Amino acid sequence: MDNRIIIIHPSQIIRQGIIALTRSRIDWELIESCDCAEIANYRSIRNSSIIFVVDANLANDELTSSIASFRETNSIKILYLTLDKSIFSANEANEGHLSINASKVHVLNLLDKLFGTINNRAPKKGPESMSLTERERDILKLVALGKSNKEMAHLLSISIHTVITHRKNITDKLNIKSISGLTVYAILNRLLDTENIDLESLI
Amino acid sequence: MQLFHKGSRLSDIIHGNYLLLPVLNRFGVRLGFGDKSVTELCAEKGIDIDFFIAIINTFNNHNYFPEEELRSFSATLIVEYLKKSHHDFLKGRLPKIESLLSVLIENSVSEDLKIIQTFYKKYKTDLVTHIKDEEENTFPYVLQLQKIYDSGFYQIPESLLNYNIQSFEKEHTNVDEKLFDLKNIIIKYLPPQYNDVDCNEFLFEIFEFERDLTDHARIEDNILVPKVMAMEKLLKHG
Repeated sequence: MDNRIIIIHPSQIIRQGIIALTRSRIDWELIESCDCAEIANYRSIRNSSIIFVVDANLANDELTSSIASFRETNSIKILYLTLDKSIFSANEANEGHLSINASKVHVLNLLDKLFGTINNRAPKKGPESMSLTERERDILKLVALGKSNKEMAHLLSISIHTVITHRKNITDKLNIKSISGLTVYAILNRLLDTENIDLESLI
Repeated sequence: MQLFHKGSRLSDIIHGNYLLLPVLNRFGVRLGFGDKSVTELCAEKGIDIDFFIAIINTFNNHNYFPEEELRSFSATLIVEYLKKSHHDFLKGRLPKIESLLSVLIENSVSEDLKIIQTFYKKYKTDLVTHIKDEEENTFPYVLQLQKIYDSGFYQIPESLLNYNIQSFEKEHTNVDEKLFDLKNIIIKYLPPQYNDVDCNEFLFEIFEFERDLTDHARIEDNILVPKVMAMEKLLKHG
């Protein structure tokens, strides 16, 4: 998950100030916007942890719906910038408040904490074996030889449905989708009997 | 990440991201810009400044994609840019990748790299076919449609009635998949008998090309296609 901060504030001094304060966090990407109309241009962001740092005066329905459009494909939190000196808090809810008078340490602590809660919540993939099973290797060989699902099912005496499941698992494990790519993998890993085949014609 | 604007100096743009150079070339812009700003350059070269800014920002920042603004440009302008990119792919990028791959093979004892070359050739054939299809069928259709639209006489010739952009513009997915596979096979499964420098250079080029293609496909799929669909709707159904 990439960590991104989207600042929505009309004041360039404040936007640039936040960017300057967070400079030490080199893996965060900061995006600035003076109003909520402009953030629509960033809707292609995917699979990211996003903290929206927003001028509390801009809080309205338009803002809420602009931000909501990011929620489907990202994990987000909203931090409102207020003039209230006493506030720099974040709770487990999706929102927090930050005083514009907060010190650099406070700002960074709060942002670190928010990214921490977002990222902990994201499901983590457990380690799983990436090596192919014997059966999957058989299937891969046949794929490389240009066999159809039906032919493979017949040759191995299994159902087409099982062939398709194996193929999906092979693609997931190797992260190779095209048939040509799978063939190249099979050749490089010596899965094919190369004596009698013109390898190049297979790819 | 910073956005470029009309007052940005071209030298600053390239200092900021040298990968934008080929994009500038597509607008006929070449090095030696002195302290010229985008405004000055576009006035001098007769380039549509808003389109220029939108394109360089889209390319520079992958998360920035001003769909509405991009769709406001004429299809003629968009097609012209896409054609320039095609030309760049065919005459610049692909030959470069091929020569780097040849060097890599020459300096390696492994026969396996030849298999990768065969795979690359297969990919190239698919890509060239796809590009040719766009240049010969899709783009002329789009340009004709835009012409009718601009004329104000919303009368579609009989010959075009049965066409629509979606039937032309098939998904990029298959071609893109192969390029990703090529990259991934090299990264994950390349046998160790190869020259580091040659292979890195080859791989860098593939990464850059992939990035360029992604940006290109994004403009085709999310800007050109919806734009043409809107024109089709208006022209065919009033």
